Amino acid sequence: MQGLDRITRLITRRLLPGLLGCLLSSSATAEQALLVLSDFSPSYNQVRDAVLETAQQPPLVTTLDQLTPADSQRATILAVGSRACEQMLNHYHPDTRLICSFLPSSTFAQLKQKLLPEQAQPQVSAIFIDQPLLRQIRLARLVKPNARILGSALGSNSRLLRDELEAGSRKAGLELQLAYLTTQDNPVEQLTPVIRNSDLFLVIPDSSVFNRAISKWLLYLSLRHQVPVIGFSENYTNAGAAASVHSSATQIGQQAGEWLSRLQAGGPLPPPSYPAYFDISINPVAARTLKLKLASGEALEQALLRLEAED
Amino acid sequence: MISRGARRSLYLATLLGLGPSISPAQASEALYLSEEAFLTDIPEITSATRLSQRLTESPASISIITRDMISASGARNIPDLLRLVPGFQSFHVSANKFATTYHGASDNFPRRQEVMVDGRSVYLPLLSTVDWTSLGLNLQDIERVEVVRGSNVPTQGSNAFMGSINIITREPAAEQGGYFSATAGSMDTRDLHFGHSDSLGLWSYRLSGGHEQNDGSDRFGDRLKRNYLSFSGSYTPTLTDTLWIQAGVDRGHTYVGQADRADTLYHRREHDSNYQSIKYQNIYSDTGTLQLTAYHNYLNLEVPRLSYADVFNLLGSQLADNGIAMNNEELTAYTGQFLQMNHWPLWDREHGTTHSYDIELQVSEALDRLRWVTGLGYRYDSAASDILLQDGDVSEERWRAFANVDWAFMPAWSVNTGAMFEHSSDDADAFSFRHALIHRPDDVSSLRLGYSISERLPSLLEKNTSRTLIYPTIPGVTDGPLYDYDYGANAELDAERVKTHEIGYFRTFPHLDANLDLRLFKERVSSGISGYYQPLPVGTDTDDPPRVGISANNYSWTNRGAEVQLQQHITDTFSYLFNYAYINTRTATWDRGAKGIKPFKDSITPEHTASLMLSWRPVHDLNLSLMHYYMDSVDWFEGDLRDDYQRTDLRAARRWAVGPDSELEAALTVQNAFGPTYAEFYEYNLFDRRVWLQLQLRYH
Repeated sequence: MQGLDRITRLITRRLLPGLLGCLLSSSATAEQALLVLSDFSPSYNQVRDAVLETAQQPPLVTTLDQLTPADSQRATILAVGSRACEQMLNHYHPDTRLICSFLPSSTFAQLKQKLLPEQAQPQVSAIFIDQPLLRQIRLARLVKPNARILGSALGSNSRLLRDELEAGSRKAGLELQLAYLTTQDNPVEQLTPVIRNSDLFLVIPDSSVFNRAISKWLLYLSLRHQVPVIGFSENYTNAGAAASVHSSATQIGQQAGEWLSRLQAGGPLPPPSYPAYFDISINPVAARTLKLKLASGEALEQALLRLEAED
Repeated sequence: MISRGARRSLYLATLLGLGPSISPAQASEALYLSEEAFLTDIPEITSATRLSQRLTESPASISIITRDMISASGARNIPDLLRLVPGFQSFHVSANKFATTYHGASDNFPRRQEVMVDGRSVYLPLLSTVDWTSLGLNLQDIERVEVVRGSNVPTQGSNAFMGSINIITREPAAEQGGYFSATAGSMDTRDLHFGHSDSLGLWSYRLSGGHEQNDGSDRFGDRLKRNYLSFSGSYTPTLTDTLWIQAGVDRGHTYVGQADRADTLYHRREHDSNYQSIKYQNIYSDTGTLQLTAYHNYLNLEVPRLSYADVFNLLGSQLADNGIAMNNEELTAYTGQFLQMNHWPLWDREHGTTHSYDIELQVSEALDRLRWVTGLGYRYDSAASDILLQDGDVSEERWRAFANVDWAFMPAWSVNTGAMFEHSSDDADAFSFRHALIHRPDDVSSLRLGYSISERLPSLLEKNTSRTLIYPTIPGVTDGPLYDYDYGANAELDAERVKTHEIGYFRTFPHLDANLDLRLFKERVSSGISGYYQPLPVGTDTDDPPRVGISANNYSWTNRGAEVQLQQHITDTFSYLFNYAYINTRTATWDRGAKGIKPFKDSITPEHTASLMLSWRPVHDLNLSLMHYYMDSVDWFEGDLRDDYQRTDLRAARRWAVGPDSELEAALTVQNAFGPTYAEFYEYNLFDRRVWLQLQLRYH
């Protein structure tokens, strides 16, 4: 049965689309791109669906466990998720244009440095899952325009962002107060002085365990000291952050699909980028509790886009 | 310890079989940030499944009573808050005794819903209900109340037969400062409360206390006096470990009785309760959480004994009613024998001592589209009462194993299955489960199809109640002692069962800042436990006809209906909440054995209940609110037929800053503002217009 499944998969996922591509495309010389999913989890599937919907020539789709040695030599590869990116970088072929998508910017930088240290100008780019820090800081500024001090906490994975965070805060006219935490630290003890002295608190994503563990105390202490929290996901907003800026898997897939279309049309590989499409979620209950006058998510998004257009 | 991501990388490497050109991953997620970090679940509601969930993901209908609603409602006790939840019926049994039930079918001791304070069950095995006046809790300390509408046994166990109420107190770490409040008003109410939250070293804590006193109703003088003190502390030695400790004591008295007659005498009931609770939580991985909880509840209730003179006079009048004349000397001897043969008589049945010990281990995890929680629990209940448990002290051990799995098998679809197995040391088992198919067509709505079968193990009281009076031999009249078998234990008592079909729809309207919650249901209760009267041979019991009551699984009824809850913040300063429930209850023949078939005068559930809350803040320091409640006529067990009523409550609260970090609030609450006076539960338990003024000083 397994053999039959494999043959069926091969026919439906590889041969048929390839055959159809040859028959339907007038420029059959352009090889189909390959989309590699880390696995079939719902988020990766959403990225895949958006890519398939957006790209002018839909890519072949595979997952890590179906990869063949020849796959890594494709002309264009779109890896979805950190593990797919890691594998593709690990077996990177110099003629390949590789786009890693739906992964944190810090992870991409680390993987690239570790797995392609010798490559002078590799054709490797990325679409990150995280937002540019300046976008988050500007949202914080919009949530509380008269804020002076921005608080934040960094864990062992996010420590490297310190310089960027400081630069962004300076640019937005905010003074930065930072706490450094490991999983062995007492969160109340470490966070209290920073939150107490801040007008706003910006959550920087770290490892999942760090994010889960710190969120509860962060939100409690922010309530205690009446300090709005700016989160990084809709989940954070639902749990009590005043507002968050985030991109969905679909939005990142849409951007990736547009990149593939440009490459297929002969365009150059764009540099590693933060998401072009994003949403802002606001928590009306948190806003009321903190006595904030918040515009709608759409209005805040437009305001951010205007600010970014001015850069 | 190797992380899940690292394990998966290694696992994949061995499975890939991609030849020498594809080698095992050299880096792993243990070393870098994964995109999972951006998709992390941030905990929200947990009452329905023990998993953190949004309301659109829940397999049950849940109503949340928020801090703002608690303040605006002017409610003075928790059952009054439940009037704001569709399908619930709350009632005052007397001036200081309150009750709430989901889908009616209740007496003055509602026993088919679990009530928890921060996850600690406060259900009393001694009375098969919750005593709301000895919880050691103040409404000021409540952050929110999560109410699961419909059976929640698969998550919370037997007591959650028709639903569960989880009272979440304010987290000490989220507060700093405190309050002093003084309330005066109707029934000569004089209440004082305080609460203070702060940090001490690595601990965050809250200490609350209070004194409540009122004179009750004019007719019955069913007054109340109680003092309580409670402590809640949280300790966070590391980011991933948290320890919570709670303890409290509540002492005082209220007057108990049944206002079914205008001349009923109410009697003083002393209470002395305390609790200790500890919870440890460890976030041990990206997706896993381990939780260990343990607690102890203690309650002692005392009602006064009859004096010797009271017993003497009562026996004398009983004998006279039966045409038996005794002189003083004979009656003295008879009274002496009576007191030797019986426990000394008490003025009321709310008397006894109970302990509950509970320990539970719970693990929750997630793996791709699966999220699950599972655990084991052990509970030991004991009870003693001279009047309710005359066969002797009783105790029971219960083991429980539970699991709840949420499987998002497609992006817009998920299945949630929960199951609970309970084993009692009384050689009884119960197995309950709930399945829900949830469709989320978008981020703001969900449609749910639910099916559950729940079993409730009988409580200590239901199984072991034994009350008998023995009348000594009257020479020349009776051949031996006469027995009045009032109620007997039933070792064969089995679990009662409810089968539920439901359709739920939940939708948020982000642009309107509104939520809509609909529930259509059919609940069939079978093997329902209630009193059944077994006939006894002639001459063995003083009743006519001779009989003894026992708890029996002889009853069944079916509820069909719909509930709707709509709430909206129209502006930042104006909001409303509307609830409505239609419940059609069909009761099977209520055959009480020797006492005959119970004739119902109306439905045992109010067919229509509704409530409306309007809250308006015209200026930043003034809050105005209006609550309107409607309850249809109902035939309560014990309470009898009550007419429908409408009630309107009003509240106005004004705040003044009295310093940089403190404010004073004056709140005037008028309950049943526009009348008329109506009867709640008992015919002579009248709810008239009531007014309270509360002054509260809050500091940060």
